[in-house]
Amino acid sequence: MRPVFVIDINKCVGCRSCVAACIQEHGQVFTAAKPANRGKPQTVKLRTWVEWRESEDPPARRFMSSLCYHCEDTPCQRVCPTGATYKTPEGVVLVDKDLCIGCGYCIIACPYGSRYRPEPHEWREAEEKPLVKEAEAGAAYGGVLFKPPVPNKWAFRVDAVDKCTFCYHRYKGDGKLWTPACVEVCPTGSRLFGDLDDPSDPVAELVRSGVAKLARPDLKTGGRVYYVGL
Amino acid sequence: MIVRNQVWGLPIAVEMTLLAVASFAVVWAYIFWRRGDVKAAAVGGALGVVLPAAALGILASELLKPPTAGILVLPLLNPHANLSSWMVWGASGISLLILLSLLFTAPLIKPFDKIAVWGRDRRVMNALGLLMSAFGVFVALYTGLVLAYERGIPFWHSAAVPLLALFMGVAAGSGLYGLLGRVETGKWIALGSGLAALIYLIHLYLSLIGPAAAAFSAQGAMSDPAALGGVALALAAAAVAMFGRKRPSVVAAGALAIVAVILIRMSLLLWGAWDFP
Repeated sequence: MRPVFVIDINKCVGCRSCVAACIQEHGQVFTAAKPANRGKPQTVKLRTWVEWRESEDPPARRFMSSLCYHCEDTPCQRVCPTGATYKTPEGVVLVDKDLCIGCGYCIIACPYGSRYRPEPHEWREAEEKPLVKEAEAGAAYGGVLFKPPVPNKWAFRVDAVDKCTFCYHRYKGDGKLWTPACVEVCPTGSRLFGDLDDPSDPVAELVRSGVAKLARPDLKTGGRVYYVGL
Repeated sequence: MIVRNQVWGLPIAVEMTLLAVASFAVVWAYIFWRRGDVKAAAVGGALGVVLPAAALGILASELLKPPTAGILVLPLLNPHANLSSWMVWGASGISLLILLSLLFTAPLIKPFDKIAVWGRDRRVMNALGLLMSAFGVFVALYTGLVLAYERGIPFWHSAAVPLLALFMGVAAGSGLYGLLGRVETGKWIALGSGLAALIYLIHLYLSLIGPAAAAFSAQGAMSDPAALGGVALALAAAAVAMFGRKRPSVVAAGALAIVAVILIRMSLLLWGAWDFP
């Protein structure tokens, strides 16, 4: 199995449900995030982000999703001094949170801005304004949906570099494709997940037919995230 | 989308500058020892222990897991070490530089010379001095290679960066002995500072006509007092060291060279930028 992620930019409406689902799934600290209209996981400090791109002539707004590209040729894995960054047999690039020392070399090496480091001072600031308090305040108005993160060894931790895992913890090891949290909640079907090894997979067909393309083929890193309409 | 580097900031610039000073201070220590100037050799050797140790300390304080900082000491011995990472080779080189400098310097210092019996054998000291110098040069180069190796930041991904790091090492290490009034280091301060300034200027020019992120970095650096001041001070250090052969001139050139190295390193690091899709 070779999982592949396809993002149809023409279908994205910029609701950022995917971002919310990812935060909930992995226990990221939203109050430590730095959301901005233009940004990448590295700059907003979240695993995935949807940035708004505006053009004036003609006036238009497009939404560009970004996450880890799970490169075939992985610069982050090459530079990691402790071997914390590794690739699964399915080609998913993961970080062993116990081995990661947080030196930041992988962030420097990543040409896509897909990794971020939870800075300790930002973490402390986040602790002072926990999301739980916001949830309590919202209870008067019917409550705020808040669930604890799904326990997994690649979940957010303040003492290690963080990145998208394609929700690898959902994979049961049975060779069957899983569905990442962001794909599950995407209301317009802009985010799609498929298996390149499955000849009947419609998502993989978008890649095989050349409709979906890599964001930066010139960097020659390959990858498992393709875009339609870029 | 162009994003400026905020991952490796000022502490890393200081760390790399300490390594630059130590890298060629140990080379000078060996040269002074060969000339029979034990006192001058001991100074460089001691700095070969203290400065890289301080540099590792700064690097450790920048980690997200400071308790794991021990991994930075000879990481080649760590079973998880990734040998394709320059950081593993660099941190191992720094550790060996500390060890070799310690072995070289201990016999030169009074209370320890009775314990450090290997100091009585000139062949052993020669071998230690040579190895220490080789690791010094490697550490200077490493501070450039670690930046230049990957393509993420185009401003750093250049053959000029390791060369720049090497000559900044020559300038800073010789500059330290210049500060101590050793006039024989004058022409090396001039050489190191002059070539560092020249290479940085060429690097800035080549970056200007390079990829968008490199051009952004070069434009930013060229409008930054750190880069301009660094290049100006490096050229001033070269001129003062070349034309003023007397002790006060060499002291001044040494001080100028070290400040120039810090400023150039700061601008190189802080103006690194990515061009994200």
